[in-house]
Amino acid sequence: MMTGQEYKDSLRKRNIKVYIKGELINSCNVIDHPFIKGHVNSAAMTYDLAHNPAYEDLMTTTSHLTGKKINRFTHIHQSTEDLIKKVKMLRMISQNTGTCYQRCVGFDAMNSLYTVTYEMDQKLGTDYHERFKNYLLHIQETDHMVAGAMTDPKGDRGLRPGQQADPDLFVHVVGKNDEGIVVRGAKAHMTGMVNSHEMLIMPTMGMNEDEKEYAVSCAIPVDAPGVIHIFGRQTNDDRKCEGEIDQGNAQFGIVGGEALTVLEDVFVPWDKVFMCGETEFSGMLVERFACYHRQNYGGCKGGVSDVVIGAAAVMADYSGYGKANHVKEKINEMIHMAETLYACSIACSAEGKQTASGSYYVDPLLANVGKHNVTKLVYDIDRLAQDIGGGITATMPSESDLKNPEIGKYVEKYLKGVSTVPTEDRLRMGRLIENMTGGTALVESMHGAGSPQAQKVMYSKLSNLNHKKQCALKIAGIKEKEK
Amino acid sequence: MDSSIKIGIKFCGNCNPHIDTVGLLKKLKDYFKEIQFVNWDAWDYDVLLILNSCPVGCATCPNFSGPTIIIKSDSIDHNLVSPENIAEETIKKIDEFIRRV
Repeated sequence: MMTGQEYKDSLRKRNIKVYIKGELINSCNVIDHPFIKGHVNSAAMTYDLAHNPAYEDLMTTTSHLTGKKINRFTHIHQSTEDLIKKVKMLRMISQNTGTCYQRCVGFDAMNSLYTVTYEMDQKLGTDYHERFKNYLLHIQETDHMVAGAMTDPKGDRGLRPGQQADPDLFVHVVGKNDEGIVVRGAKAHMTGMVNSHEMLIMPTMGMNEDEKEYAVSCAIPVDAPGVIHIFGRQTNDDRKCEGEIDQGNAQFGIVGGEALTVLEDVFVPWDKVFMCGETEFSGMLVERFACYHRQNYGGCKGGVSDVVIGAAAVMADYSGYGKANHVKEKINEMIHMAETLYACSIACSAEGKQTASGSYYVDPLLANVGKHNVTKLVYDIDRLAQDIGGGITATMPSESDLKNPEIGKYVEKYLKGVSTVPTEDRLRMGRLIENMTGGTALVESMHGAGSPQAQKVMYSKLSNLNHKKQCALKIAGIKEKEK
Repeated sequence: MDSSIKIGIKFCGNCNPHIDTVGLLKKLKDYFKEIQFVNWDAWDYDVLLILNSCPVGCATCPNFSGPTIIIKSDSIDHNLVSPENIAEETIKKIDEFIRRV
């Protein structure tokens, strides 16, 4: 298993093409860029915590393939206990970073591909599962960070992939020979992509039989020829080029550092191809990945919410109203919502089941309910944090003002709360609330792992509405007419 | 005190720390200066101490056949203990073990 420092050093060896605000960044220095540094630190925690005895019970496990100790982020779930430990691990890491550490996406991609390639081979006689297991062994051995790459740009959402004015709006196979395949297109909103080693491409949705070229899954190094990353902007990101306080979370950043990843005729050898034209399994892969990923959100957002709740409570103490009844009531409401998020993730894990491959899969209905809660409750938690934090979180002067020899004394004097608390501490806490509860951080809760509608469409499929109708008919004393 | 005694330590993953188990271990090390505390996967120890930081106690128990003491934030070996007394009661528990040895 790599340490955080070894992970960072390994990233410097890549020949990756990353553009930020129109500028190509020197490959060796990508991880030092102010826009990216925090996300790298956050991902590095997934490596460092695995070496800390206080966290290793969650952070590490035993490979079912080799019997060796591995980082849990490279593991295939072998039990419901594994699924539960995953959620607890995510909550714990979030408490340490206050933000996304990105590595769950590849983790979920690997778990979904493990199950789907097995079932594909059983039905179609292909050999994708063996290929994938070899790839998994490589990942467990190297401890590489894998970016899960599912979301295509999709162009006109009313049109199928083949109907788009530009066929590249969905990743597709444009060439094939004895050596491998060539893919073209792009993947959007790619969390942790620029600080990963490789990416796992998956189709963005279930494909029809006439859309074979779009039913493609494969592993690609993030620095393969033809791969270009265009790093996304975030709310307040230019503050990363200034001091520390105004960033709120200067060490780890906000959300996952997303990018648009362009695949310009990228060659992929056959041993790294895990689906190529098997349209009937594309929907299954999307659903498996989505549910594994939606499982996470009560863990990671539960942990992030723990930090937000703590920040609101400390800000109230710093400002002298920590003992006010309405503040206590609001803090309790925030706790209720955070634990509700967590409860769904634990529940969908405890109700997980074994798949044909032997690995374990979450309960999809409960996983979707959990993620759907995140699209609402995180907004409510953050709203209450802003309520408790006060208007100061949006209006306070900058770190430069605080440190200015002429006017710093006024910032110090007039932004003071409780007299025993240094003004700088109050400003730091206010900035943490500001940055964790607004802009990019909130949108991630809405759309990460799928927009709310993506969860709702699962309910009619998974919730057994007919049984609910039968219950009501029976209790109301209504006899069904014989068919 | 028998300086050859070794205690294996296994932490839970600390996702919801009601007590500071890292701090608890430090107190134990300070108190039992003659005892060696080793990580659970060293396997060569006389007693295994499982340190759970909340009441759930989800730490995976290693396959160790010797005596095991399970600490949770509110109990020791499933007997309720106030969190503020956990360190003191854990010391007593280890003392009992040493006397038996």
